Amino acid sequence: MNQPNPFQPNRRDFLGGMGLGFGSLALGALLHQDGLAARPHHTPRAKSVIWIFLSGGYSHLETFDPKPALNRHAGKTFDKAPFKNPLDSPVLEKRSRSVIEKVRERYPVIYPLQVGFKQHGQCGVGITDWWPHLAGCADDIAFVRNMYTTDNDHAAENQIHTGRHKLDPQQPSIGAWVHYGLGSLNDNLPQFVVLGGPTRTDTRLSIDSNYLGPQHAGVPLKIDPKNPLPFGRRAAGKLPAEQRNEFDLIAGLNQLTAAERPHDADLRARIRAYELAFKMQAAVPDAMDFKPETADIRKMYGLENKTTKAAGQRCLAARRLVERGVRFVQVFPTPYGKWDSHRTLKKLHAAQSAAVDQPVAALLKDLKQRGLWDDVTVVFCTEFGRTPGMEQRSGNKDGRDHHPHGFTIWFAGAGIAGGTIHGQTDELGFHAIEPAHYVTDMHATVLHLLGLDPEKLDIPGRKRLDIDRGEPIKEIFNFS
Amino acid sequence: MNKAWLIALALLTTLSVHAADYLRDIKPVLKARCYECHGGLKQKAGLRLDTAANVRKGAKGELVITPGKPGESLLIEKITTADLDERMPPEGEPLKANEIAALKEWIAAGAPVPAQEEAQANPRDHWSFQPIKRPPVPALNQPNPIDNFLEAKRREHNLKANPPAPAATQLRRVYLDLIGLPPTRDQLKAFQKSAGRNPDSAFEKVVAELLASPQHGERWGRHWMDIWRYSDWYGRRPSNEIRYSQRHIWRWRDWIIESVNADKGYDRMLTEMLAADEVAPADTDALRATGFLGRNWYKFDRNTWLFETVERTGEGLLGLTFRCARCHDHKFDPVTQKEYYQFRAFFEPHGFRTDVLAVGTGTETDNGKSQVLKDGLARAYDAEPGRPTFLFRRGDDRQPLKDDPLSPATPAAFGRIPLAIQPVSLPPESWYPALNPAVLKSSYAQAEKAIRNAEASVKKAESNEAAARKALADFDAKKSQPPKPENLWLTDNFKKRRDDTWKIVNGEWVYEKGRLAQKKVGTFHTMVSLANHPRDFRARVRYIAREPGNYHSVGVFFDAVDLRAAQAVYTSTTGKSSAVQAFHRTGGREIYPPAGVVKRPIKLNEEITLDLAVRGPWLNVWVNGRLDIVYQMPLARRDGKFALWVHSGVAEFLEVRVGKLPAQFALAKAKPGSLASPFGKLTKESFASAVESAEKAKAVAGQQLKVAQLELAALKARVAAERAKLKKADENLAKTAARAEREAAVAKAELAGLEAADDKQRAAAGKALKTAQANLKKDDAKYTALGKAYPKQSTGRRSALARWLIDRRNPRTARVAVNHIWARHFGKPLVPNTANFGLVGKPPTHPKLLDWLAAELMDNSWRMKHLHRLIVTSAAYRQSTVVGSEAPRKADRDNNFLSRMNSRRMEAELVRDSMLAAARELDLKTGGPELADNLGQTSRRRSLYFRTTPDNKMQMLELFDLANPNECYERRESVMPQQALALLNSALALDLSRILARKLAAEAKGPEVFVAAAFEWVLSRSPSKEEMAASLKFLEQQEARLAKGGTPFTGANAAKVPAAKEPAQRARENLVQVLFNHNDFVTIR
Repeated sequence: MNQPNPFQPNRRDFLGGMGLGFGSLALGALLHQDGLAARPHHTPRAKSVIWIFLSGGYSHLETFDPKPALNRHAGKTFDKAPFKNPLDSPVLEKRSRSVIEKVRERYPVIYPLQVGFKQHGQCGVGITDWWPHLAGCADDIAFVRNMYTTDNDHAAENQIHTGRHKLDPQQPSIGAWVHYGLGSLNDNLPQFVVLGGPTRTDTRLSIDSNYLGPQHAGVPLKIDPKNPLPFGRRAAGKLPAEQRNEFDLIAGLNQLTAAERPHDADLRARIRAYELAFKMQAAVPDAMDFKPETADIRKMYGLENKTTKAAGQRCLAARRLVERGVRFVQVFPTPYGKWDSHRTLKKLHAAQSAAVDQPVAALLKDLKQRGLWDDVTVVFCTEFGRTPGMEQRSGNKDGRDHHPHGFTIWFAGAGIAGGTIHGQTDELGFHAIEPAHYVTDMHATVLHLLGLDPEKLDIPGRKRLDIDRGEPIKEIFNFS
Repeated sequence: MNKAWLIALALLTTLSVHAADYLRDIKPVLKARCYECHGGLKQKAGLRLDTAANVRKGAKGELVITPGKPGESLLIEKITTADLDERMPPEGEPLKANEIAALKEWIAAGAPVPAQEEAQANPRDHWSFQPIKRPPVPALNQPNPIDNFLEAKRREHNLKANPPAPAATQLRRVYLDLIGLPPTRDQLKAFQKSAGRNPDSAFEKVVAELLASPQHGERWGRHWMDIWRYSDWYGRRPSNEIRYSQRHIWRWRDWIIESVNADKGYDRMLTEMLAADEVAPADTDALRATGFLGRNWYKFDRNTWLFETVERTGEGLLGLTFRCARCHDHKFDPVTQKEYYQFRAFFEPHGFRTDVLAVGTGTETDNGKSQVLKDGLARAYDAEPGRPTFLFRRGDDRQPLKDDPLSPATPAAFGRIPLAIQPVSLPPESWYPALNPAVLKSSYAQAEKAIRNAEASVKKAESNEAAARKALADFDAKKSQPPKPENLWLTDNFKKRRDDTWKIVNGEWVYEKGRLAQKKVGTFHTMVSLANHPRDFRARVRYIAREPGNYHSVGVFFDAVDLRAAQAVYTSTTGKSSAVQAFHRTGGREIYPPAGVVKRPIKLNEEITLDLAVRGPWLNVWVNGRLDIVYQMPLARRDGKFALWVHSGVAEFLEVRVGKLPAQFALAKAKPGSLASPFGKLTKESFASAVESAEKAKAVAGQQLKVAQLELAALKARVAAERAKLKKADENLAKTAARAEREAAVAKAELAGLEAADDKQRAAAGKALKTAQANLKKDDAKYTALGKAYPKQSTGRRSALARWLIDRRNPRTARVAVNHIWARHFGKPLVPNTANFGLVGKPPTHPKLLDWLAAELMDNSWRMKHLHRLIVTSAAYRQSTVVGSEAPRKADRDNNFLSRMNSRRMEAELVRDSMLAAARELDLKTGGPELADNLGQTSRRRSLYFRTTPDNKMQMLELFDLANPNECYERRESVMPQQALALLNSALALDLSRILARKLAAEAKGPEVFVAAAFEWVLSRSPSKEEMAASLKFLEQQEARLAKGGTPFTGANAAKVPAAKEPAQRARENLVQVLFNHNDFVTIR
């Protein structure tokens, strides 16, 4: 396989002429070369992305796409409601591919909304009462209500990140593409950081870099300044000067070899890698240390409150990371599968919304007040929506099943026209109305804002299909 | 856009300033959109469009263009018609307006033909479909044939080979290459000496030794595991649910290692991997090989499983990218969609099962749904011989072409090699695995071992009983003493703080007035021992509970692995009620079983003596000398720490003593009585009770022996009956078997009665005994079968496929194999795309050498060691990696022609294994079940034995580009800062540096000797003058720096081996670790 190895000598000969006296400039160049493009393909609108993923599948109906028709026709079956029966749609089967054969039944009895909703902001978007804080940001957000995916089970979590159904050969995740395409803004930190997940090993595809190579994979960091990344903690008991001397000797000995092997690009890359490693040991814990944050900020993110603490810490850490130039921060504010409400939807969604609403709203406000709004695009999403019909499996009667046919995600920040309501589902909130957006349109949107053209990122011998690359959702941009 | 084109068209038609050029404007379009059906590979409707001349020629005498008249040309009509059934090309978007315009223009201009245009070659003529013929070796006076081929190419390109690498470099290179471990210092010295006399023979001797070493199979086995995509099973580990691969598939890994070590032919290896169940159906060792197929198993979708099987077999063994043909005929290679599904038909009947390896192996639950064997042999078999294969339209399994079932066939482009598919009748030991002699042997061995163990227990129980009786007889109350204090594991009277013994977890623990006081009211304020306490122990804690607080709970944890799971005992009082209580923690939560509570007065401000005796699940607790609690712990015992804690109160601790529970101390198991604490004087009762329990233990052991003997007898009787049944059922043998089995059941029920710990268990055992006795009275011939039976015939499809694959006429198998081998020796394959020898892949750099090697492999019974020896003893392999002058470097920047050896970065496993080997800490135990991936920092086993799946990877190995278990035909060699962090801060790197420094300091006198030895162990070479100087300077300065002291980094220490206290030694440890971080450590020069 022709896998890209950015440190292969023939691609790095440009450094050869610089001899051994690398300055920080050379280091920067080397790190940029970590990806394919040292420069973006077109003028970027954003520098960084915060990608917030809520695992388990939040109901679009009880969040950002409330449908009054569900209350009006509650208890009726779809065929008795005065709308086209969504189960007759030709895309029904196409967009619900099971990993496990025939486990999904259809639930045609209309289930009413489990919470009230109101119109918010100038844009008048309907948001349910579980989101008081985000409702206040309605005019900063562009809602996309016509999303669809094709996996009707939780591997859709990987699909929204990689663009591929579980049963198809996998692709790198969106964060890996960004990392590969843009490289670094900061020489001391990993550039694709993951906070709060993935909490299970079988969801790690969501941050995987596949054929792009491990240097482009997401680096999970813990909200713990004492131990934020694998092997990132300096050995207890070592003196700072002791370790500095070790680094110096490593560099010195490697330089001696380099003098004999002036063409060895791997060796030069390793010398640089050690410099970066040395800095990361300090820079990563520093980024994860909230001590410098004011009491107001802590309060705003909900760090003092048990309900909002976990999501608040991750959102605040995300802000601290983009502030330091990290390109892609993937945040899992809630644990694996927490939104999966086959039963007791009301209870589960109320609890999860309470955990997330304030911290995410705080993040948006904080980005604004710090002047990061025009640099950072925020994405808020989940793997699929939930059925308008009441789930009736094994006696369930107070929940909704997985629903790949229509769901809502939103964007905010750099390049995004706030207060946009883009796309819609049908009256019952079942099908996304065409032209609907497949999950890779989110990737294309993000890449476009970062100045990247997905087609130009393709690796020789690893051809992707058009659907793998997606199309930017240009209707939500604040530029043309 | 459209408008622009209209203008452009207008310009073209009116002015014709820029005539369409065939080569520039037409040919690329035809190539992209038409060649697939009308080119060298296929000529649908007899039409070829791959040259201008062919376009003019048309199809079967009918012209498709009329030069000069685009309006009358069929081709234009076909690509522009609105009738979608007629329009060409049939797939995808229609041709673009500018493309059509250019075609028209070219026709209008008379369709000029460029000079010397070559027709598209027939893909069947592609080099890799041609039979392998042994080419003559160029006569260039090199002793090794490989060098003659390489030298011929070098001369063609005006390149010269590098001189040989220094002896030390060659030695390290070949050690790491052939066994994946660096040479020891002694091996290095010995080689340098012998190579000084005769470099070639010294090197050849080393090669022979390495190829004969058991570590060779581990090294090269791991390469083949990459290519054959070895993965341990995965799915949902916490619920034990398998979703991919096979349980116990590590046996396939062991088979690979053993086969490489035994130099089994590659042909035989492939045959066993694809069809051991047909070619060696009774050979449980060979059957392990079918893990190759089992690895593709997928719980939820059989089509996914078979797609993988077809495609990965194609890529890994044939260099054939089958995947495109899943949905349509291959666009570049001569493989049709039908051939894809015909290839699938070889595998269609096969399924997977787990055979017993010993009768009586227990089962476990798979995800609450089914019972699976705890151990066994995962193996392929033809489960559904009649299962049809259908082509799936567009690769969609919902659209099978059911009218046209397909038979197994191989792609025609591989040439005509006859396929003889013959059904295989299987021997009974294959379809009835429990009767396999190997299985029976281990079943008997298991049963006999149980007897031997029981006999030993009887002996031990008898001597224990005698000892207990003697102790009772000798008992003299006046001389009685408490069990001796030297047995104690921990004593502390809290006169001073002991950081080597305790760790304060939380709370406010203060040493004052000769006591230890916990002064803060809160939740479980705890102080925990650093080491594990003895499993069966006695403990005494003396303390005083004081105000303030609510519950005033004071107690201990034991078996505390961490503080989330532990056993616990405490006293508490609220003023109104008070108690002593046993409970446990699991998953961080407290569970309080009612059986553990005993109400008794507990007073504040008064000294309390809490005594514990623990043996197995039994716990006795005394408060102030009175036995209050007799308790059987429901949470399983584990080795763990001992902890003191105070909850909702404050307390002072006066003393703690913990030690092994003396053997003669017999715990109370029924109810509290007068039994004295093991810290008190021993009483006559305790000796009498010791005799009583020794008697009981003897009875249990005797009964265990009886059960074991009867079970072996029953097994033998059942085997005899089942064997007879293969010919004709024998009523007498069956009755004997039934009776033997029932006798064993009675004995087992009696044993359960003896072992019963409480009334409930006794009642259950009594009931079971009654049933067993009733069964014994029956006179029928019903006994339990030995195991499951399976189909008695196999289709023979897979063994036929294997024969085709290893047929001398197959053009790919040997070429693909030698390319994989070459790539791993040189860091660069001869055919650049190891998994794609098709038309899109690049051609070999040395086609003749490739074929010669392939022929050499086949002509030497496909034995790979022969090839390894040939390759590593070549001059090319032994040359230096140093890049010479500028000119040749530029002429062949990718080193395609091997005018030097390639430097490489170690594979992940080599990094870890070499560190362990250099520190002389490596555990060379081979084989066995996979080790948990989170043991990588502490275990000393080789890296290939750790669990590796797409979900589970050892973190450190992953950072160094561990194989992707789904697909890895070549490893990557990335350079990342995280790798540096792993070598600097991991427990493994710190521990091994410290251990090696300690060993070297003991062996080497003086700093120069130390530095030289460290270089030789870690880098397998001596330091240069500059390196020596830099290292010596470092040792000196670092020692001085360390002596000055300072504020160290804080936090928990991952390392198990503490850093040396003495600055000089600590500096040496630092130096060793620096060498592990040297670029030359992870680099193979």
